[in-house]
Amino acid sequence: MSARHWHDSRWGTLALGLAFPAALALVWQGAAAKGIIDSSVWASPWLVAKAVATQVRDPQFWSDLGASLWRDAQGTVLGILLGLGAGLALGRSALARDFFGPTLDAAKAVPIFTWVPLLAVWLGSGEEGKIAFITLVTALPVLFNTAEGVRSLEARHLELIRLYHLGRLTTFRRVVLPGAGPAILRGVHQAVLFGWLATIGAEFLFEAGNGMGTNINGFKELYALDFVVADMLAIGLVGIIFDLGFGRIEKFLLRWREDSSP
Amino acid sequence: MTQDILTLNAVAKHFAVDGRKVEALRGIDLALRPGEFTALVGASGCGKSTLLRLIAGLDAPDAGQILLNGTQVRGPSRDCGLIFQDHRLLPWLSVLQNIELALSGTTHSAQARQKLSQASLDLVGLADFANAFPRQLSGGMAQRVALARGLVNRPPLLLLDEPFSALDSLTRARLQTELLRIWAHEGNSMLLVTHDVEEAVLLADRVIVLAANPGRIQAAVDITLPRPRLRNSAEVAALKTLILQGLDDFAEAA
Amino acid sequence: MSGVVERALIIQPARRGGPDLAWVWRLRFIALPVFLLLLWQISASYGLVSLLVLPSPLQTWAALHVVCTNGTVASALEISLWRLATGYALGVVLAVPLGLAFAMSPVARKLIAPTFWFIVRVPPAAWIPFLMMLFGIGEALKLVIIAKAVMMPVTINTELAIRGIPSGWRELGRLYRLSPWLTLRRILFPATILPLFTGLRLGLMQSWQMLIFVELLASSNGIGYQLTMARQLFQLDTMLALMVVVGVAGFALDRALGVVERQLARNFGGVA
Ligand SMILES: Nc1ncnc2c1ncn2[C@@H]1O[C@H](COP(=O)(O)OP(=O)(O)OP(=O)(O)O)[C@@H](O)[C@H]1O
Ligand SMILES: [Mg+2]
Repeated sequence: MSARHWHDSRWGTLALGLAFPAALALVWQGAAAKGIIDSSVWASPWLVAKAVATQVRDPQFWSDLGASLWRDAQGTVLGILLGLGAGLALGRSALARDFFGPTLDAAKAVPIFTWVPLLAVWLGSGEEGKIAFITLVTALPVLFNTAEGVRSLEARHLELIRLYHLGRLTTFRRVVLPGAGPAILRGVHQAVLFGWLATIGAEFLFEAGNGMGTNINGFKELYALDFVVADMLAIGLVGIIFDLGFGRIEKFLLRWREDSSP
Repeated sequence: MTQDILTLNAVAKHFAVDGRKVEALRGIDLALRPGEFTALVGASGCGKSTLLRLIAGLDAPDAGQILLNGTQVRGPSRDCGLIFQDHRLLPWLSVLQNIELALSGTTHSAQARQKLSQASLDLVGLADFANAFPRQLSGGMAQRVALARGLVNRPPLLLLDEPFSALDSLTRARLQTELLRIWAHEGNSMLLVTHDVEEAVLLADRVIVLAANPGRIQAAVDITLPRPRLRNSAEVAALKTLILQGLDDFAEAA
Repeated sequence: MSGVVERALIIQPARRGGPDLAWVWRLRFIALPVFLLLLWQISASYGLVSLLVLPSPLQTWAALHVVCTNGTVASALEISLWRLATGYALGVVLAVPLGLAFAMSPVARKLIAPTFWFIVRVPPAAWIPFLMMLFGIGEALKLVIIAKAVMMPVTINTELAIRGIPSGWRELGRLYRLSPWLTLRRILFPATILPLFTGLRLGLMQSWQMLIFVELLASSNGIGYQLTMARQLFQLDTMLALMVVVGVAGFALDRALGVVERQLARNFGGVA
């Protein structure tokens, strides 16, 4: 019913999306060139571009990025597995819900970073502490979303299971998993995003090792804002890739669902 | 000769569905006389609801003209009421408040509005549910409240989009009689969309048959039987068969 | 000892004579914390875990008493909560109009949303060096981090709230030609208040998280800073006590908003 606009095309959308950061960069560059802001402190887009070019050729950058990604992968996979198991148990068993639900619910309100000092004391400030933290951060969204997905589906499909006398395995494979699938995937999606946040956060909060957190902090000590921004762009890009990439996977896995868009 | 209350000239409407152009309505010509009861029947998806929305001024036609009392329809007006196919009650308002909503902007006092709404609610047999919330009603009850809301401001032309489709046959029969009584009393024009050919024959002065793809008027059958009409009379059955056959013929030809 | 309590809690109350244990069953949600607490105390009393690594619950309780009475908690919480309030308010004031703009103008959405999205996807930890260089470790740094944390959920939920108004309800307003004020009061406000509030609540929880994060990392006062201090001084009992304080405060904040949300749901929830 609505008419098509010029900005509905793929190129129009892309152009609009790029226009805003381009304008910001122009203003920034202009202000630095005119001396309105001190370019030795505020850098400039041109300097940032040069920093990006330098970083891309620096093996240290790639090894730090690799270290962070590996750390992230270990913690996230562990967290997702733990969260999935606990979430399924919690969703399927009313007894488990009765006993653990309220405590877990209350734990949700406790900032996750509060655990950092304790983890650091227990597991040391090195790799174990960091990975344990990432695991904790990623397990929780999977746990809560899975439990909620399984539980809310129980209410809708319990009768179906009883009506057709479905066995345990069929129930799980044909009803529970696909029914709770969207919720589980939502949890895993969150976990993937949170995992990356937690990885960078852990590298700040625990003792310095290798990784992007250390990399970016090093440039801060050197007062090189252009390199700090270059690292930020890289870290943000990884987050976006995770987000979009997982979005695609999710869409593919959920293609059986009717499109809910109006 | 009196002026028609509603005139449609070559009205057309299309939608873009999934990149394709769907002609919901093409070349609709229609005239409703004041006080006439018209029924509109047709297969699901042939554009009945779309037509009512155009007449009510909620959507604009792509081509053609819609005149209400001789003036072009540009938006919803007080002279034309609509009862939606879905009951469309606001969940956060009580039943009575939902009905009163239709009276907002009128000159009635708050007290008068309440009285009118309550009276309208009595009419559909839900007097005791004034303070209930929509979630506490069954589907059929909600539809009756919607009916009460549509009737409360007594529009000269009332459009009804399958108002009885969710009701049991007893309630339906009762409300059909009730609708006829209101119509006789108010002398207004009714345009009733229905799937139920028998309902159309029982109630209307004229039955208009809509064909699908694109939605257009296939036939118009005048019903001259005197009222009250009896559900089981031979005349009703004959007319019903005639109209159903018309629908069938078309389905075969398509 | 813990075993006895556990069994008493797990066994369904016996209905055939004997003492009525229904109240015990109703308290089952507390079994897990009680069990953990007992385990913790027992392992401390029997020296299963070094007190240097994990002080006993009684020690923690004593430390809690100390920090609550000597003013540490009161002054630190005051600073932290004030910080939270200002950063949160800043975030909401920026986010709601942004969400409105996204919902109402496709051009505004396409123009700003990608950049907004990128900014949001850069982890807060990566923002901190940048902001520290520009603002030092002063108040501005914290406000920006907290405000940014609020903005994502509030913007998204504002947009969803506006878009989520079923078109049918807006049509109702048009059909009965409700005045703009009545449309707002009867239709737009009740239809959006619940998702909007969900965003506000999520935003508060996010900003509470980020407040603690930024205080742990770059602050010289506030409750998160006290936590870091205790860790560095190896006062583990104080550290645990402060963790309890942070947890309870977050829980209280969340529950308070939960109560408001439930009331709103009762008034405007409709079908649910
Ligand atoms: N807002 C819309 N956008 C796109 N297509 C629409 C829209 N509204 C209706 N249509 C299309 O127009 C056609 C007619 O729809 P309409 O709702 O008028 O049918 P109907 O005759 O009322 O059917 P039913 O008896 O099932 O209510 C359908 O093909 C439908 O897909
Ligand atoms: Mg229809």
